Amino acid sequence: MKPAPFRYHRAASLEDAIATLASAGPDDDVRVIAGGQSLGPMLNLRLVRPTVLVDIHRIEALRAIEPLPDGGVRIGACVTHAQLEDLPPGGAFSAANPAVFPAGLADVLRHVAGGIAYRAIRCRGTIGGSLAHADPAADWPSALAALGATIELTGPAGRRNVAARDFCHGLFETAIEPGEVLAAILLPGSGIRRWGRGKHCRKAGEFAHALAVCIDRGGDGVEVWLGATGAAPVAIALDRAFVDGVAGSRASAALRRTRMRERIAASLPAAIAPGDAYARHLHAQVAAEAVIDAMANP
Amino acid sequence: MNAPAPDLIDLELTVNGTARQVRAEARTSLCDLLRDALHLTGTHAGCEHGVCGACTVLLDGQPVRACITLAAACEGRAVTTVEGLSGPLVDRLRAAFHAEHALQCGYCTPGMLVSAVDLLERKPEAGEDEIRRDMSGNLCRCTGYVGIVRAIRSCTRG
Repeated sequence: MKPAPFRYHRAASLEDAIATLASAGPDDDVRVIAGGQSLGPMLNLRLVRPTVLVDIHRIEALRAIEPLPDGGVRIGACVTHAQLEDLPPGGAFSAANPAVFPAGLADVLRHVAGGIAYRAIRCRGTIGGSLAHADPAADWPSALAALGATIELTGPAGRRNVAARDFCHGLFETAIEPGEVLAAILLPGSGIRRWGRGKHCRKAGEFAHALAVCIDRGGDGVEVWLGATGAAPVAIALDRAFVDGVAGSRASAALRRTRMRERIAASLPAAIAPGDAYARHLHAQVAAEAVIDAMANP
Repeated sequence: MNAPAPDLIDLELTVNGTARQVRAEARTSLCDLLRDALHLTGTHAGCEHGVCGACTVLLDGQPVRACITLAAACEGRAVTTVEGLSGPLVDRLRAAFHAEHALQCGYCTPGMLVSAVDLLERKPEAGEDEIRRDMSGNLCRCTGYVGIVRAIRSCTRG
């Protein structure tokens, strides 16, 4: 249970990290490491055998949570889950920075971050590392897609942005090109009216078997994003009249959830857990819980 | 496959309040550094992939898994292992683990103590449900959790 040997470079800056990636030889397998809470186990199990590790977690510029001029929020790639879990109540950025998050956003981030694995993992694991690793069962890919986030990538050719909904291409596959580093996550400034979350794990803290996030910003439709599908997150669009009808009905909570689940099950893409009736039921059920939860929020 | 020559790194870090200088291979985990180079064998290597929690230590006061934290990433930082835990809260917790029979073989205990100290410092009024949820990242395979939860609970302000 020890990693194969590698060379280690602690990057002093983003430019240094990019230059190190660019200087790799043809036989090198270079990996970027931040908190190492996904890569660490894979190194120990020798599922990956990089020849060079570029450690970006000490780069101060990647560790900040900052307000943007347009009212949005920029989260550096090396911000830990624990930093987000510990965001002050009331939506302020920090005790030192009284600027406030767009309505509802800090609550969603706090909730999603606080539900990841265990505190010892959250104290090292980073939002950017989790996203770049793109395990479909991880919490951030679907949550950031639902939040309408933009992913900022920096490489030798400069900076480019990719929408979070287009970022994950499949199992461990993302829009990151060789030589690029995921630098930040940008969140929009528009307020969140209501939000809800569903997550199913057999044991507290383990990877989810089904995940869903519903963010309601007003608008004609309601979108629910499903994670843990084995590939990229998937969005299911629901008609607002239907959602309001179910949420506002006088039926029992169980019956409302069943109606929502049946509606979502009818739209569940065939590629999700084909032939596995239990898994498909679970995805639809957890997505229904996210929507019902959102509608129950004030 | 050509194995690269070992990349040796000189590290300076503070362990249990003492400044230490160590040379280690780049691939060394913090857990192996503590146990093999510094002979602090209180930190236990269990699953070695971040699941069981036996190797939990404090890094700059925050709990981390020493098995999936590279030693090289700890340059200049302060590590507290179970050997270095001290203070009135820790004394009470140790006595409570004894009184509640919260250990049997003791393999998970260093990680349990480190995680419990962090939990009690962050959430001094935690109830049983919160304790069970927050301690779910530390596995015990013999005594069971009843005594462990009871011991931690007896140290809350609830």
